[in-house]
Amino acid sequence: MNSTLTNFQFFIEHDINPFIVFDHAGKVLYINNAADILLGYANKQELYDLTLSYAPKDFGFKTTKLNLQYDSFNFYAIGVGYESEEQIAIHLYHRPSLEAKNTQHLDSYHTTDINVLLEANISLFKLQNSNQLSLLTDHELPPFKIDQNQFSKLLRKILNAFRSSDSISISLTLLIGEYIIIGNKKERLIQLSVEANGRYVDEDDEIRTIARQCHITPVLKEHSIRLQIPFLQ
Amino acid sequence: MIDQFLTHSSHIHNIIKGFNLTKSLFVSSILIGEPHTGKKTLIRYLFPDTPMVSGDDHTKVQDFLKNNDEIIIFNFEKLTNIENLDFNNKRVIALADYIGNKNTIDDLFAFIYTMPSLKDRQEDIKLLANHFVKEVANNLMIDGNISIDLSKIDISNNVRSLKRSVYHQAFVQNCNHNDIEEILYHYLYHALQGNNDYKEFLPLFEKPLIEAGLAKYHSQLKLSDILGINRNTLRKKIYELNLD
Repeated sequence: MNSTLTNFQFFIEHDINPFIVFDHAGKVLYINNAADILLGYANKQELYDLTLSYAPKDFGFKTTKLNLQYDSFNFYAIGVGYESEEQIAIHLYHRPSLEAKNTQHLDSYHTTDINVLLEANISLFKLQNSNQLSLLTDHELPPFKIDQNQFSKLLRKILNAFRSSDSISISLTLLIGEYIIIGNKKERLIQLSVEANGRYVDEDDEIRTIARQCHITPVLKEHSIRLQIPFLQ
Repeated sequence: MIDQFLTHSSHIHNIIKGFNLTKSLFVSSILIGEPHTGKKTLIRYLFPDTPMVSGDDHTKVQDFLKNNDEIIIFNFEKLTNIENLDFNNKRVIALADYIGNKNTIDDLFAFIYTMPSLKDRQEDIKLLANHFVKEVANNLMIDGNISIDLSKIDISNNVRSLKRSVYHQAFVQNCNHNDIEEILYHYLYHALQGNNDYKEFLPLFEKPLIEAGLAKYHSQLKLSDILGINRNTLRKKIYELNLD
C-alpha cells in the first residue's frame, strides 16, 4: 500500500473533529474546517496550553479521555502528537450526541415565518410579565420549516426562564459558515439568543428535550439560552 | 357572527393579538378563565367558522380531531384522558373554566392564555352595562330612559350576573302602576297560604312606601304629612319595619 500518493490533508480538512497544528511558539500553522469554527468559541491560547498539557512525553501520539465543552461543542477525548520540536498537533473528538426520539417527521414541518412565532410568544410573555424586553431580528429572514407547536412551546419555556430578569435581549441571526447534518443533508443554521442578567433553570431539562426533538441544538448558560435552529427549506 | 368583542382591557387585547398572530399556524392554544368571562364569545369572534365540540364527549372530540385541522374544544376541563390526545399538526383552541393537571396542560399546549374575570377588568363593567342597556331596551321594547346604577351591578358571576343586574334595573325602573299590581298579584297568588297573611304581606307594600318616602323627603314629619298619617303612627311603622 502506497500511502504517499494519498492526499491526507483533504480528508483532515473535512473531518468533523477539529484538528490544529501549532508551531513551538503556539502559532497556528494549520486548522481544518471544524477547528476554524471551534476557534470562534474557544480561545487559541487555551487550546495551545491544553495541547502542551496533554502532549506525550516523547515523540509520538497520545490520546486522553477528558470532558471538554466550548459553547455547544462537546468533546470526550483529545489526541496530541508531535514528531519534531517544531510542530505539535491536537485532534479533538466530538462526543457522540444521543439523538432524541423524533416524534415528528420533517415532512410534517410547516413553512413558518419565525418572526410571527416570536411575536406571538413575546405577546404571551408580556401578559404575565412586565420585564423590559428588546428584540433584534432579521425581518428579511425567509420562512423556513419548523414544528410550529413544539417550537412555540420551546419559546414559551425559554422566555419563562427569564421571568424575573430585569431586561431581556432577544436576537435572531443566520449563522454564517455553520451547518448541521439532518438526514444526510447539510442545513444552514439560525441562531436565536435570549440573554439577561440571570435566569431560572427549573425547566432546563425540558428545554433540552423539546429542542432536540425539533433538531435544535440548545446552549444553556447562566445568563443566556441559545438555540441553533436548522434552516430547513 | 360577532362583529366586535367588547372590551377596554389591554390584557384581552393582547390575547386577541396572540390569537391573530397564530391564526394561520398549527399550534395548540388554551384560554383559561372563570365561567361567563366571555371566553366562548371571544373565540367565536376570532374563529367564526371553526368547528366546536364540548369536552364532555371524549369520543366526539377524538372524531373532530381526526376529521378537522382546526377545532375549538370548550368545557376542556371536562375532557378525560387528555394525555392520549394527538394535537400534532392541528390548530386546537381549548376553553377551560379551570385546569386540573397543570403539567398535562403545559405539555399539550403551546400557548396558555388566562382570561381575566370582570373584577380584574373594571374598565369593562360600564362598557358591558351600556351594551346590555341597549339590548334590554330593544328586547323589552322599553322607550323610556334607563339609568343604570353601576354600584348595584353584580359581577360575582361575571358577565352573566352583570347582564342579569342590568335587565333587573331596567325592568324595575320601567314598571308602571299596572305592572306592579300584576307582579304583586302573581306573587301573592302563589304565596298566600297562612292564617295571618294580611299582616304577613302588608310590609310588602308598606316597606317600600316608607323607605322611598324617607329617601325622598328626609323627614318623618314631612313624610307623615305626605302620607296623610299621624307622625306617631309613622314612627311606629318605621320601628316595626326595622327602617330606623
